[in-house]
Amino acid sequence: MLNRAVNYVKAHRLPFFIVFAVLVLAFPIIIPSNFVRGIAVRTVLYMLFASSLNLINGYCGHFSIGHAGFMCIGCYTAGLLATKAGLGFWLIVPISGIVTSLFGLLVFLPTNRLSGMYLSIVTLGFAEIVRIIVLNWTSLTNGPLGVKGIPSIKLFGLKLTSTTEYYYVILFLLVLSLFCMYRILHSRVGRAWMSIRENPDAACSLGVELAKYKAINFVVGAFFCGVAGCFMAFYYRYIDTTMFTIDESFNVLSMVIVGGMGTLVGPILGAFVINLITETFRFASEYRMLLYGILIILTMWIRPQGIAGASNSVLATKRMAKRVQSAAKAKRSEA
Amino acid sequence: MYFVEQLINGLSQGAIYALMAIGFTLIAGEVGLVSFTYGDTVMLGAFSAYWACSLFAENFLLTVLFTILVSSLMSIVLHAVCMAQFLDAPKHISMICTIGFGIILKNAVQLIAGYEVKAMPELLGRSYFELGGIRIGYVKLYIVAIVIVLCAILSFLLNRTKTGVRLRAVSQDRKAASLIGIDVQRTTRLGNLIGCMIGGLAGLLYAIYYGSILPTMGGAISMKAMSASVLGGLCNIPVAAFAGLLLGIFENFSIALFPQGYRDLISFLFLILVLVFKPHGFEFRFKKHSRKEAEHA
Amino acid sequence: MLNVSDLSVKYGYVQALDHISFKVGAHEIVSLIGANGAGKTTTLMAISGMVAKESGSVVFDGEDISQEKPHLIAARSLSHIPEGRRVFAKLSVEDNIISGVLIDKKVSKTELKNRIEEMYSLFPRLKERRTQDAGTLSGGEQQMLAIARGLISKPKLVMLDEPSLGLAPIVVEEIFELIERINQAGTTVLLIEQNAGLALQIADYAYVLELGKIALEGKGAELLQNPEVKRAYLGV
Repeated sequence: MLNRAVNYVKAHRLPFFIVFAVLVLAFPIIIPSNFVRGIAVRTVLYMLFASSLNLINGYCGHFSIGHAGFMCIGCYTAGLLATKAGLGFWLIVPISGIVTSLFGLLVFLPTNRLSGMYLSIVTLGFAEIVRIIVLNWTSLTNGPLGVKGIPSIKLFGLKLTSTTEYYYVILFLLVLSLFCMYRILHSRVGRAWMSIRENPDAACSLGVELAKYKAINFVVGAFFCGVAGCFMAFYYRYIDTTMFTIDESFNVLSMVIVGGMGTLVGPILGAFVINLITETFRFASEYRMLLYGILIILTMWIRPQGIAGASNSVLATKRMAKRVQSAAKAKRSEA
Repeated sequence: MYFVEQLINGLSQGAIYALMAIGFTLIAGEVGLVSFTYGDTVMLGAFSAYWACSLFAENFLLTVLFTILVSSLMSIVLHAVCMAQFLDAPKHISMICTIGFGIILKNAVQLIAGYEVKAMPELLGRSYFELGGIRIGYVKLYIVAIVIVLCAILSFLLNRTKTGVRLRAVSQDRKAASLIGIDVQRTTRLGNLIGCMIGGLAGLLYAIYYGSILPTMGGAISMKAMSASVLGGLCNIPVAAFAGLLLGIFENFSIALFPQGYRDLISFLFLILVLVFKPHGFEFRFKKHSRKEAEHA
Repeated sequence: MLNVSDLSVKYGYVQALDHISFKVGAHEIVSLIGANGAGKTTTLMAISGMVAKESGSVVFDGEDISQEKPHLIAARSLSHIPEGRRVFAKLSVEDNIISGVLIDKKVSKTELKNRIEEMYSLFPRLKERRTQDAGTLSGGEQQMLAIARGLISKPKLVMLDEPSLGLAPIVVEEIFELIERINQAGTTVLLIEQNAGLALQIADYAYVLELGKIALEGKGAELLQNPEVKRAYLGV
């Protein structure tokens, strides 16, 4: 049933998209509640985080589960630059992105020769290392007290104060980022990534330098994460390391998985669905995480490729995987 | 003398880490899957021990049995939910399932037991002996002894029994094992069961050693078990045990060098160093596995 | 003993097997020969339940095993010795042999010992290396080990997938002598081979598989003389 719904939407892309775009743009005007607007801002922020992770996980064949590390760096870079150097939001956005992407490169270096599982473990370890160092380097980061008093965003000299204004800023950042991602994915770089994802050996033999493109992948993904982290610092106005735990890594990861890895729409949907559920069940806050874990498992059981994923993708059901494997097996034994 | 004290602490702690690494590696080898719920398995073991203490008036044997029971039940549910269907599916699917399962475990325990730290009664007594001016609790020696016994039992099981042959065969070549008549589902369930039982017992020992437990302790534990296991390429049990021991000693000595807060960092750095210098541990496992699968396809 | 009818297997869009039917009678040696990609391994995989069947049925010893799980099929005295040997490299030679009989819980300790000794008398070289890790054995020894592993459960039917693969000619002869001896002792054999000459020599009956279909069938000796077979598979 879910399959049919998804296919229906896929077949009628344009009208859905137009309706969707109008709703999104007019959202703060339609809904007067500031509380709901706040949720919307957070949701869009997570859409950007999830998209940045999706870029890393969905297009190049490797699988990062330590995104909180990049989030932490992006956020703290922004927070520290804003409070200690007094720089403005719009200047910090690219700086934050670049600093985070440097860390992306740093993470990539030891993982170059590693395969699947090992690489994932290292990303998790890296995220924890970042968190612990930030937590303990009190002279730089204020340690467990966090960074407070981050100023608000200034646009053309005017301070932005309302949730609605922040909403449009993050929306703008998201759309801009998605546009950039789209262009990158459809460029030579993007195609190189996907060839690595589908068949690294073949890609190698065709001249794609695996290390170089994998590195670029981490760097670009981390960049967009840094951008989002910058906004996060300026929106929450206070940040500390408790926001960047392993749980947070898994949170963003699940948005990518549930929404569908390897598609641009996937993380958007995933962030939307997960935030919707988290907010709806806020009243049962203790059970919220339980539901969340159950949701992840259910997704793997029912539709492992995520909401937006393709049904015939290699990510789909276990039975499909078996057939793909057997087919490869048979081909090779008879070849 | 301080050196000796830290060494004994290190051995004790290392023994617990070694046990965790063994359980983790066993599951990784058997089921072919890195389980992100292992730390929470250990945590559940620790909490079962805690609850057993109140239920059974701190009787050690009953506590052990209760811990084993709870861990076993959990492992069967874990297998049914996260592993049974996904044995042949892309690895990340079961990995994510275990992440979800771990979240459920952790929050279920939090709901039942609350968020605060729980103090663990001293099940193995408080007696100590003096050596050159320092006090060494007998607890530490008991822990090492228990771990050694468990290792011996496991070694016997794996190397000298028919069940052991079955377990090892499945961990090496699942398809061939299936062809010659081994029930792979049952065997992976058994492997998972043993691994989780070991994890649960490690949790029990952990609780006794540290004296306090938290529902959120699973995260750091997962990383430590993984770090140690990686040295053995995720499939070599003796090497993983050794690495766990080393990690424990290393951690204890690093207290002298690093401030308290950085302690957990040690295991992560250890992990990354291992992977940088020996990308596949001492056993060329996961990559070889998939290449082998491809070649013998 | 084994009756395969109308078997079809599809991998995605590729028709690997197209409605093939063949029989293996009790105490026979039946060979299935064909070029690479013809579908020989797929056939065995389908019989053993390792690969999904699109259609068709497999009847073994009077019972329909088409939907049976692989390990249960092995338990029915149908042994599959896979392509490329696939011995358990890190297990000792003896453990490998033992692994072949794990399915049968009724085998007592003494019975197990007897059976192992039987295997060793058939394969003296394995006895020499009984405690070595299987991965350290030569190709020919590994093939013998794989066969021993398959035979220890005393199966009624043994399916061998390309036993000559990657082995020196002299070793291949040894293996084929062994196959004949096993057959004379009462075990039915289904043999998959690229080495058509040897396969046809020892076969009572043979089938030629081409692109997923059975192109020819007949008595082993007859097919050896068949001009088409000679041209295509015997290089004559």
